[in-house]
Amino acid sequence: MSSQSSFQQAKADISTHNRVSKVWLIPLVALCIGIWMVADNYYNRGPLISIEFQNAEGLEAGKTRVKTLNVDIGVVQSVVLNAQRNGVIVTARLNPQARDLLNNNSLFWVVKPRIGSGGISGLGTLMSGSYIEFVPGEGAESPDEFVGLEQEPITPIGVPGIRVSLEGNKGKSVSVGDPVTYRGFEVGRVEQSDFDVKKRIVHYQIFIRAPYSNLVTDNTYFWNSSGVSFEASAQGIKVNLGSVESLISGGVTFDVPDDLPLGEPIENATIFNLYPDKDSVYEQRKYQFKEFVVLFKDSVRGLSPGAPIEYRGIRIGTVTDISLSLISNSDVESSERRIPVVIRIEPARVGMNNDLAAVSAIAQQMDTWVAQGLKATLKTGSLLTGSLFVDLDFYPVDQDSVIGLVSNKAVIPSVSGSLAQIEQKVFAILDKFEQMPIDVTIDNINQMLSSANVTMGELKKTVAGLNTLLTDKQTQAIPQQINTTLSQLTKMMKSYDAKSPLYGELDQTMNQLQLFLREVRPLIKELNNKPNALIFETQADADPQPKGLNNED
Amino acid sequence: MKINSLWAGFIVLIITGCSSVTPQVNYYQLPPAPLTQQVDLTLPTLFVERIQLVDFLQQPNLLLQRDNGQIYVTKYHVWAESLDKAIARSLVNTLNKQQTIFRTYAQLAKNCTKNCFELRLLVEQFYPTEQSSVLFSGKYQLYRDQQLLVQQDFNFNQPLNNDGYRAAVTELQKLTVKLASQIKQQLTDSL
Repeated sequence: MSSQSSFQQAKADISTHNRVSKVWLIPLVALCIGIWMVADNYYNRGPLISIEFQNAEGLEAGKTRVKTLNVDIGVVQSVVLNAQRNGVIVTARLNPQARDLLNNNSLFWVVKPRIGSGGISGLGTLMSGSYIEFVPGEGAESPDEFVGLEQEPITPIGVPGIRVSLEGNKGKSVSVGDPVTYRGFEVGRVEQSDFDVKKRIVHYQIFIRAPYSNLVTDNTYFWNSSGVSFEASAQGIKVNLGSVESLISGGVTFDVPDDLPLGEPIENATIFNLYPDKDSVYEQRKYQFKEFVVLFKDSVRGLSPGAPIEYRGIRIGTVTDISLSLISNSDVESSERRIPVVIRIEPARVGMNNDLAAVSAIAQQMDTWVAQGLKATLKTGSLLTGSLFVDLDFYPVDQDSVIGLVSNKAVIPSVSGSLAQIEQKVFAILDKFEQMPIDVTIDNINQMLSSANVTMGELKKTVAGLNTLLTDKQTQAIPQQINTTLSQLTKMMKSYDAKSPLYGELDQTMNQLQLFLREVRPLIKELNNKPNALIFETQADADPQPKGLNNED
Repeated sequence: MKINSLWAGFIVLIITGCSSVTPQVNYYQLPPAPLTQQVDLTLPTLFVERIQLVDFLQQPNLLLQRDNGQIYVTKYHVWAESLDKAIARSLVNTLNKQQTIFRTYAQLAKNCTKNCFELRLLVEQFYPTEQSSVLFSGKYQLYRDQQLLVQQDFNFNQPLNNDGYRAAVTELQKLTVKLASQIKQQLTDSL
């Protein structure tokens, strides 16, 4: 141990070594990679959007896909109730490339099996499950919150055409998806249907695709073509039957009335009236009119507002009101017993322009027509329904042929209708019948019958005498004798036939007689000129001779 | 004695009257003699109806148109038969002689139903004149199966070369031949 101490004890040169071990590079690099991956994932993930639906039927977090044109572009991440708990908010993460597609007009709806008026759709989702359909749309903003549609839009996005608003307050309602037809050809669909509670009208939005959109002009009229309509009016009973599709699902049709020009094409969102049926277009469309009053002595039972005014079968206006108030409000004790009926004369119905100038012309001309005998009368429009209409026609001019005035409206004179006239005549006949001396007449008839009895007795005697005469053998032999005489007459006539010898002899005798007369005629003429020519010699002058050309002197 | 004187005077008067000399009456016939030929019953038939004469031609005496336009009725020149029958027979015989396309008869056959032609003739002039000519004028209608085919007026004027009524009748007969030729041509064209 001491030997070891003799040696100079080596002394370790101890220095501090502060280097970091290279091993630590490994976690460092891992950390950097991790950060890079997180950052990359964060910055490269797609947009997270929220869509509000009314319910979450068919939607499932982590499973329901978001698709556009059947291409997956995202997945639903969560489905939660909204704050008001009256709907659901679906959160979906879209692919990064879908970011540019999002804008404020983008549409989302849930595709699931549906059976509606437009048909059956979404059958494919029975196997694959529901998904959210996304349509990009066009817009400037890029929001991340959307309100989803409850069902697929009726018209595919981007289809060219026009949208027209319709307002209707009568007739059967039209459902969303119902067809819009033009002369039986489908040209669009009903997109929206809302009821305006304040106005109490139904508001529809229809889409008419190009090029049929050009058919809609400012003179176009729309009417409901749904199902079967059955109408009993002054014109009789009318049944309108639409197409099979419209029978099942209803629909809207449109056209320009025959009496109107085509008009100018319209812009989007023009509001039209939706009429209950085609006839209503002609009956109820807005005509310029001039109101008149007709005071009828006859009962107006069967006449109702809307009944036609006709001139010899051509409709020229409409009954608008039947009201005693026109004359009796001002004077309860009025002696006027006639029923005032307000009528509108609508010049456009007879081909005149639908403007105030035509109305003014009619108003001015009415004075002349009334002075010429124009009068109104009630006529039966339909024997089945008993409905009446007002007929205007010319009658013989009398003291009533002047325009009157009631409640500031011109009054067209009236005459009793045909039924009323018949009624009056029947009463007149009955009155005369009542005044007839029936007793005297019956007495006369009795006397006449007594005389007839006597006459019949005498006639009976005469017939008996005639029978006696006819049963006499001599009388019965008369026809036989007549037959014998006729046959003898026939035989005799045959002997005078052209081929008979007697006829030949007669003909020859006549010819000889004719010849004799020809020969005697000069003698008679001579005796006529000179009665004593038979006794005294006459100087026989020779006839002058016709001269020939060869012997002329 | 007195009665015997009267009878003697009457007889003398009669004998004296019979001794007067009167010109001889001459008779004329118009138509030529018919041909001797067999009739083809299948030919179309022309029937000449009874010919109508104006009133002054309906007499047996021949007429002469005087220079002053008057018609003179001769006393001693008469037709051998009535003039309507004479003209009809003249036309019938002439037409049958001129052609063999159709057969002509002087009366209407009631049983003819097809290709039946009918001639209705009215004669207004048929006499010589003192101006050395003979005249034959009138009008006629041709029917085919009861349908009017031709309606024609004619006015023939033939110069008279020789004196006398015999020469005039000869010229008149030539004019009937001329009329027959005209009718034949019209019928032939229509067949």
